[in-house]
Amino acid sequence: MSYTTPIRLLNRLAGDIDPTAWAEFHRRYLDLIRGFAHRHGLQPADCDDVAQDVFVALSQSLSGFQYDPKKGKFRSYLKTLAIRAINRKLRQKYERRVQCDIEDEQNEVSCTFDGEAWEDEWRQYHIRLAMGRLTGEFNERDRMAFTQYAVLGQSAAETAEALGMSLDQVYQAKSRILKRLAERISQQVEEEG
Amino acid sequence: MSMRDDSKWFTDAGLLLEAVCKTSTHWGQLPDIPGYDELVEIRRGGQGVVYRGRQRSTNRTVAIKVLLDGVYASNVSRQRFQREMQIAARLRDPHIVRIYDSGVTADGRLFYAMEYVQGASIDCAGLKIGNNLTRTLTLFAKICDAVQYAHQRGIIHRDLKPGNILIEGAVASVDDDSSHTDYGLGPRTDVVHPKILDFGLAKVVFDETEGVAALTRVSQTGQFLGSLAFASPEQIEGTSDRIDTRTDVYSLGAILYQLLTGQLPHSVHQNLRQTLNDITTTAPPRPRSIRADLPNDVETMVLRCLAKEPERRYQTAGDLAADIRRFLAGKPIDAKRDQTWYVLRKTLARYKAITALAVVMFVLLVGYAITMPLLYQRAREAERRTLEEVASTQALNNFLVGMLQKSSPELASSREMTVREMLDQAAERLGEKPELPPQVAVGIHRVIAGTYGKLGHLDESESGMRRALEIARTTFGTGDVKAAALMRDLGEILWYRGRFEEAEQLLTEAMAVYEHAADDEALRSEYGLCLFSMAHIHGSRGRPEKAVESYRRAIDLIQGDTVAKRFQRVMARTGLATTLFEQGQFKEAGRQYLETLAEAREKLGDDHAVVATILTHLGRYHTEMEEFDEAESCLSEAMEIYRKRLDPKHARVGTVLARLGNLKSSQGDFESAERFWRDAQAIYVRSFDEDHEKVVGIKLNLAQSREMQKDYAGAAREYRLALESYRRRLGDKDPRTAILRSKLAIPLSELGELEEAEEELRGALAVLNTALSENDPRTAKTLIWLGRVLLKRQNPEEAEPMIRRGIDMLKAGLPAGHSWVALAENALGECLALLGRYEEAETYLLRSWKVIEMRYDSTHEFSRAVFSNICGLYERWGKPDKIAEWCEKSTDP
Repeated sequence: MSYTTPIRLLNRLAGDIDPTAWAEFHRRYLDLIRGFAHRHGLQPADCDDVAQDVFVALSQSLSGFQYDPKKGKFRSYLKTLAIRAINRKLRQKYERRVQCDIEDEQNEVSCTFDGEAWEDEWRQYHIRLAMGRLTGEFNERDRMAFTQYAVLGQSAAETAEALGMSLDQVYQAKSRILKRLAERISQQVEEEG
Repeated sequence: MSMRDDSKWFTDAGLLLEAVCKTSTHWGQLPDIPGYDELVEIRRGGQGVVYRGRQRSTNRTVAIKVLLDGVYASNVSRQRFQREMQIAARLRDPHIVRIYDSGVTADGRLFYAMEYVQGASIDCAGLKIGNNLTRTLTLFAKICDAVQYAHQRGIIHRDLKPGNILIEGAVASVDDDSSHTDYGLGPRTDVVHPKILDFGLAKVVFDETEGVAALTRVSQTGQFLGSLAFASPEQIEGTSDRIDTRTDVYSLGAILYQLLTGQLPHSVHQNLRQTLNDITTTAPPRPRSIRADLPNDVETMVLRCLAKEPERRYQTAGDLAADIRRFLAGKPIDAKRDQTWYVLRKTLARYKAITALAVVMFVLLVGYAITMPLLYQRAREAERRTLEEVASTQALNNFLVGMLQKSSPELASSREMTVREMLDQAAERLGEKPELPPQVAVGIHRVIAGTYGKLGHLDESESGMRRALEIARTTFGTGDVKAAALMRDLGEILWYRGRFEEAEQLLTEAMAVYEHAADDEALRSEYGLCLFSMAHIHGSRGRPEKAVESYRRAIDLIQGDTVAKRFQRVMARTGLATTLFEQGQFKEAGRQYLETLAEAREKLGDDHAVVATILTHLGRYHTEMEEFDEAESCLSEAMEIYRKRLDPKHARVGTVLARLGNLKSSQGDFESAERFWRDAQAIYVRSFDEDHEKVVGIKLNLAQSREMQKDYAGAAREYRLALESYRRRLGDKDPRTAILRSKLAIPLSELGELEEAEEELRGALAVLNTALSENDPRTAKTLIWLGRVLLKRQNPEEAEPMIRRGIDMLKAGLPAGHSWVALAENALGECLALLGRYEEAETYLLRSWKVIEMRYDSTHEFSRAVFSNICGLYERWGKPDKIAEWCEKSTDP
C-alpha cells in the first residue's frame, strides 16, 4: 500500500467524504492518542473514548479546511485536541465518582499534562508508521533478526542460530534497517510540516 | 536520557534504537492463538489486527481477526461476542465471508477466524463512481442477495458500509492521488465477487448500549464516521427495538447512493448534532441532482431504501435485489407500481411456482449437482451420456411436459411442492408409462432412485434401482455395461443398508463385465469404482487388508479431472484412511485424512458434502486421539455443511450426531452423549434395518456409556442386545462379533460374573488373533481385559504375559502418554504387586498415575483405580508412610 503524507491525508479528509482516508487516518493515529491517554491514567475503554472524541472534533473542524503550516503544526493541534478530550474524560469520571462516593472528593480532577509523554508517543507513532512502510522492503528473516537482536536484546549468536543466518547477516540486518528507519522518519517528519 | 528538544532524535542510531525498543508494535511478534499457526499480519484496522493463518485441526488457510484490548472487555460481552459469532458462523453464502471459529488468544484478546479472502473493500478497490451503471447494479444485487440470505436466517448486519464489503481479487488502491478513476475490477461483471464481512459483530455492541451511544461504541472500535454515514434513522434515534432487517435495507440504500453519486446521502462533515438531525429528519439530495444521467427508476429505488420510516422502504433486501434486476432486464420496477400491486403479485406468484418446478426438474435430471454424500459414486460422464441420450428422445420430453402440467399452479394445491413429492409423482407417473422406450425408463428410474437415496429414502431408492436393473438386464443383457453400472449402484445401496452378501455378489458380477473391457479407459475408471465399493464391503466384513488393497487400486484406476472423478478419488482416499485408522495405524490414517481434506477443499470447495464426510471421519479420529477441541471443530463444521445441504433426518446427519455423542462421552459428559446418540438413533431407524451396523452401533455406545456410569447391569443388557443382532447378521466367526463379546466381558467382570466374562474374552481372542492384523488395538484391549479378569480370579501368573503383550501392541500404534496405555500399565502394576514384585509394580503404577492425573481429575474412576492400586501396593509392601503420603494427595475422602 502506498503512503499518503499527513498533509494530503488532511486535505482529503477536508474534501468529500472519503472513507478510505478516514480509515487510514484512524489506523495511523489511534495508537498515538490511546497511548497518550493511557499515560494519563485512563483505562483502555476510556482511552478509546478519548480517541473517538478527538476524531469527531477533528472531523468537525476539518470541513472546508485547508492546511496551512504557518498557522501551526498539525501535531500541536492534535495534541491540543487530545488534551481537551482527556480532561473531559477525567472530569466525567470524577463527576461520576463524586456522585457515588462523596469521600473521594479531594481527588485531583485535572492532571498536569506531560509534554515529554506526548513527544514520546509521537516518536513511537513515527516508528510504527515507518516500520509499517518498511515491512515490504526487508524479508521476514531480516525483520525477525532485527526484532530479536536489536529490540529484544538476544545475543547476535543466538539470533543467527535461531534464524539460520550468519553473524554478519544479523549485524547487517540491524544496521540496514536502522538506517532505513532513520531515512523514512526523517522524510515523515519533514512532510509533517 | 531525555530526548526533549532533540528534534533529530532519529538521526542518532542509539537514540533511535532506544525509541524503537519503547514502541509497542514490532515485527515478528505474533499473538498466540490456540489451534492456529503460520500467522502473517495482513491488515491493521480500527477494530484490531487481521492475520492470515492456518487452522491446525483442518489444515485450512483462514483470516483471523484479533480484536483490540478493551473491545468487548467485560465478561458478559465476551460471552455474547462468542455466542453471536457462533450464530454468524452458520451463515453459508458465497457472498458472505464465512466465520469458522471464535475464541480468546493466549493473552486474553478476543478473536474470530474466518474465510480467507484475497481482495480489497469496495471503497479501497476504487469502486466509487458508477460509471458503468449496469456493472454497479449487477454487483449490488449480489450484495442484496447475500444480505437477504442472512436475514432469512434471523441475522441482521447493523453495520453495513463499504468497508465491510470486500471485492474478491480486487487490489487496494489507497494512494496519494486516488481520484477513483476506475473500478480496477476487470472488465466483466460476472467475475466480480463481493463478500460481506462482519455479519453479527455489531449486534453485541448495539444491543448493549443505545442509539448514538451505541454508534460511539462501534466507533471506538473503529471507523465512527464510516459507520455513521450509513446508519439508519432508527439506529440514530436509539430505538433499538425498532431495528430490524429494514435497517440493513437503509444502509444498502446509502451504500448504493454513494456508489452511484460519489457522495454520502448526508454529509458527516458538519456539526455532529446537525448530522444526526439530517439523518433522522431531512431527505437526502436527489441522486439525479448530483448525477443528472442517472435513470429515474434508479433514483426511485435508492430513495425508497433511504425512507425515514422503515415501513416505506423495501421490506426486504430481496425485494430490492429483485427490483434492481427488473430494472436491468428493462422491466418496470416494483417501487413505482404500488397501484398494480395485486395483479403483479399474482403474476409473480405464478412465476415463482414455475421456477420452483424448474428447480425440481433440474434436481431430477442433473441430480448429482446437489452434492452427494457417499451413496453412489458413479461416473458422471457416463451418466451425462445416458441422460443426453435420454433427453434427446421425444418420450422424455413428453414425460416431463406431462409432469409439469400435472404440477402447474392451476391444478396443484396452493403451496409449493417438496422435492420428495415431486419424486413420488415422477415415480408414480413412470409406473403408468409402460410405453416409454426402455433406455429412457432405465435412465429416469436411475435418476429418481439416486435422488431418493440422496434424500435418505432408502426403500424407494433400492426398489427404483432394482426396477432399473431389471429393465436393463432384459433389454441389454446381463453382460452389458449399462446393466453393470446399475449393479454397482444397487450394490452400493445394499452395502449401505448392511446387506453385504448380496452387495458383494452384484459387485463381483459388475466387475466381471468391466474386466472383459479392460482396454477402454473409461471402463477402467468404472472398474475402479467397483473396486472402491468392494473395498467398503471388505471393510464391513472384517477384511481390512483386502479393503486397503482395493482402495489403493481404486485410487490408481479412477482417472480423469472432472468434478465427479476428483470426488471419487477423494472418497477412496477417505475410505483408505478410515480402514487404516480402524486397524490401528493411527499416524498413517491421520496423515491421509488431513491430506485428503486439503485436496477436497481445494478441488471441490469448502462447502462440499464430501468435505463434511471427511470432517466427520476426522472428528472421530481426533476424538480417539483425545484431541477434543479439534474433534469438536471438525464435527461442528461437518454438521453445518450437512444442515445446509441435506434433509435434517438424513442418515449422514445421524452419523455426525453419533460422533458428537462419542466425543461427549469421551469427555465424560454422558448426559449430552446420550442425547446425541438418541437423536442419531431416531434418524437411523428410519433408514436402516434393525440389525444394521449403525443401529447396533448406537446400542453399543449406550452400553458403553452405561458402563462408564457404572450401571453394569444396564451395560450388559445393551451389549447382549447388540450381540444378538451381530450373531444374527454376521455369525460367531466375524471379528465384529468377537469384539462385542470382549466388550460384554467388561460389565460382566464388574458384576462379578467372572467365569462368564473369561469365557467371552477367550472366545473373542480366538477369533481376533486370526482375523485382525498383528497390532490391532482391539486385540490388545481384549488381551488386557482377559488379564484383568484373570487377576480377579487370583491368577496373576497367567495374567502377566497377556497384559504385557497387550501393552506392547498398544504402544505400536498409539502416541506416548495415551490413557489406554496408562490404564494397561495400571493393570500390570496391580498384577506385579500380586506377584510380590513391588519395585517393578511401583514403576508401572507411578507412570500410569502421571498420565491419568494429567487427563482426569482426582474423582474420575480412572484416577481412583490407579490410586487404589498404588495404596494396595504399599499396603502389601508394608509402607504405611507412603500410604499416608498418598492419602493426603487425594481430595476425595
